[in-house]
Amino acid sequence: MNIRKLNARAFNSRTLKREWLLNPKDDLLAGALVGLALIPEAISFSIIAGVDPKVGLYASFIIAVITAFLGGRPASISAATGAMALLMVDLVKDHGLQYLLAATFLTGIFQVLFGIFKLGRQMKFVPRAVMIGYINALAVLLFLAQLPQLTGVPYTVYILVVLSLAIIYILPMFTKVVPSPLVALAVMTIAAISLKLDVPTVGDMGELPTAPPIFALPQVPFTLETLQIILPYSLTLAIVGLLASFLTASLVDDFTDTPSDKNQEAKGQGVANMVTAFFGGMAGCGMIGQSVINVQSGGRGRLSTLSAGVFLLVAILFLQDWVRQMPMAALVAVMIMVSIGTFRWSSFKNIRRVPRSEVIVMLTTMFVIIVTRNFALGVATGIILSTVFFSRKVAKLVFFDKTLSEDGAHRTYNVSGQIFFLSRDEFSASFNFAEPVEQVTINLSNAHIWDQGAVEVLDKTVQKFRRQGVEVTVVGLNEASSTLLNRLSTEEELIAEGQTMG
Amino acid sequence: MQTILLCSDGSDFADGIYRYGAWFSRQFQAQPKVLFVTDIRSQKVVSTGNLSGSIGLGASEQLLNELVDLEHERAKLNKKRARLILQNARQVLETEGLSDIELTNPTGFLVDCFHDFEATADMVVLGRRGEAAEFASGHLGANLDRIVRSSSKPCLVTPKTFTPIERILLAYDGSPAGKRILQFLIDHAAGLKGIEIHLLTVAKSDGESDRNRRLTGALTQAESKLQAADFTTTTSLLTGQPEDVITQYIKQQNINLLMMGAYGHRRIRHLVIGSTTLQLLRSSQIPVLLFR
Repeated sequence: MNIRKLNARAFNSRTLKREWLLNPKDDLLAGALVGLALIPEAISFSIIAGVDPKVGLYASFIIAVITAFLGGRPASISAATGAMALLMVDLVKDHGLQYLLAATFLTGIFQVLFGIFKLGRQMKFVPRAVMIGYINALAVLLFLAQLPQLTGVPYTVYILVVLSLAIIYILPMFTKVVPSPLVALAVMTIAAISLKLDVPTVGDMGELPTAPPIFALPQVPFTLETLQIILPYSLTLAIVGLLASFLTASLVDDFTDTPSDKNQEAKGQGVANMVTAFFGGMAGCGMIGQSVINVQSGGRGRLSTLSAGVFLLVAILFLQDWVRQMPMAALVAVMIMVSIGTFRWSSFKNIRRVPRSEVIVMLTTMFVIIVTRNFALGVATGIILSTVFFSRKVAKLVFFDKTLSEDGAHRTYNVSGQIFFLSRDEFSASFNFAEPVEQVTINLSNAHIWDQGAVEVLDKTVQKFRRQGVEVTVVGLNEASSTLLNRLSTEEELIAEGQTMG
Repeated sequence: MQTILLCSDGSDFADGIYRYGAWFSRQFQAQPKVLFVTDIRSQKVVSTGNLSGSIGLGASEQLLNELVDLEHERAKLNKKRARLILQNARQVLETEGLSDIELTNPTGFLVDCFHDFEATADMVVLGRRGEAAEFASGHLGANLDRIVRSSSKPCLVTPKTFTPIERILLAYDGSPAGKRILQFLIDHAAGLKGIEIHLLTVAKSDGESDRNRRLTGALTQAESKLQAADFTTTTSLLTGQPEDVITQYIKQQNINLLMMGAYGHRRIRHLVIGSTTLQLLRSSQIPVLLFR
């Protein structure tokens, strides 16, 4: 007994060790890199959402640290994200930061509930085409969100953006030891300060953190009205956040060839968002781009996520004077890199090879999200569309094999496939009612009757044959089909048939 | 006894493991089963060595391909290595005159897989140290403690080189583990024919204390049991620090195998291998058969 208990604990400590201390050196290094890379992103996303940079930075720190402990996917990076920021724009514009914090808290509650009710498993209902459309739309929106920084600005900004992009993309060709986006940021900041360039800087965009985050309740009236305002935002944020987090998790699953716990991930995200709300941070979720960077740099364990969060906070507190003077142009360049890196180029390169219906689903999802700026709506549209396409395809997979008896008086139809509401037209069109036969047998051994629509069309077919003076027998119903037929059919012979079968 | 599990890792100690495993298999007419676990860690943490932190078009597909390629190479090497190690094991065991050999190569962690294999074995043979600790000779392998601690079967911890077993020392203290060793010897008396058994009990102090009387009683009892099973025995009751006395005894009497309980008498005995046991494992150059 004693030993058994000990073994269980030893196993836990082993899992713990495996997830935390498998390769501490690489984890710390990758985490530091990601932590630094998170700074410009967190600032950009805050600007997109319309809040001070410190809101995104605090959020990134807290979410990264909490998901490091509670997340279901080691080595995936969660922080303030663009997808979430884009959803908050209107809420912030209409009601202000405090309502955003309240909505963030509620988002967390929803996500924890999703985790408890194990909705992570339902992710399989989101088809791949929808996911790719989602990612592409995210990339496009991230890019579009940079445009305000590029309109009505002095021409030096454009030069800085181009130079930054050049550093970001050309430097890795020579050395992969230093992170090129950070080099670009550093070079541009030093250039802007030393040349006294008059360009917009991060400091112009709002307040930067000067101290670690402190606990505070969101300053909103606790009324039904508040709930009415934040509820729709929270629900969308919760769903979109989980979608992105699950997507990130399965991407890291693929990279590392190890499984993740999706429900735990949902709970981890939820707790992270709930806590963030109390420390003045905005809602966040899993980040595809940063997770790719993390794995690419050697991060594999939870330590990488934790060190990303910690490095982010330490760096921003130490470097705040520099960050304040960082030109927005360099930040824009980094975000352009992120949006390009996020975009699934292969989905367009292979557009001819992918089935047309899937291309349509992908493009529609993308289009709806970009136009409405609502990820949940786009994904819902995509799922509905793929369901329709899929059922149409299945409905077409009904085969009729006709045989006529030697005397020409008995026709047998062998039907195989799935018969449901969509197959009605195909089903009735395949019978020749005008044929001068005395008897017709409909053999359904290889078919399945799914719903009312299918029963109705079978009823109608039998009726039609009888009006032509033909005797009809239906044979070979499987058990589920005959039960359904028993319950729903109005045609007496079919009922009798169903009963003998059952 | 039917199966003897030989936990190999392809290190310098492997040869000792095979030879001793073969000796016991022959004596007890058991089937040797060689277990080599390909450590999943070495496969999973591959580095792309890319710290550029920049992601270009199709970054995730690129990274995935890169990682798959790296792991593919690594896994291929690991598989090849496992095959060579197991082939070597078969060769050694066959030259030792055994034919019914089973080789297994799961991927994972030794400490995790161990239980599945241990459950079907009657005895476990493992090296004092493994591939990770080939140098410092006084040290024990990282997996040793955990395996001995979690195994319910007798564990034979072997040194690098094999010496035929002619004299066995049983460090007897009258404890339940000690009684189990006695039972083991009696059960396998046929396989151990012609081998001298040295029964040794170490008392902490001289004199006529209660404890010493009890130890002497237990010792004579054990001796008569062994003699009833047709063993030639030498019995002694010595005084001093157990590890020193036992080490010395091994040297003087030219003992080839030490049998003892894995745990001491302390309260925390289920947590760690007994300190005497650990000391002896570290210092002795002969195999130790541990019982829990």
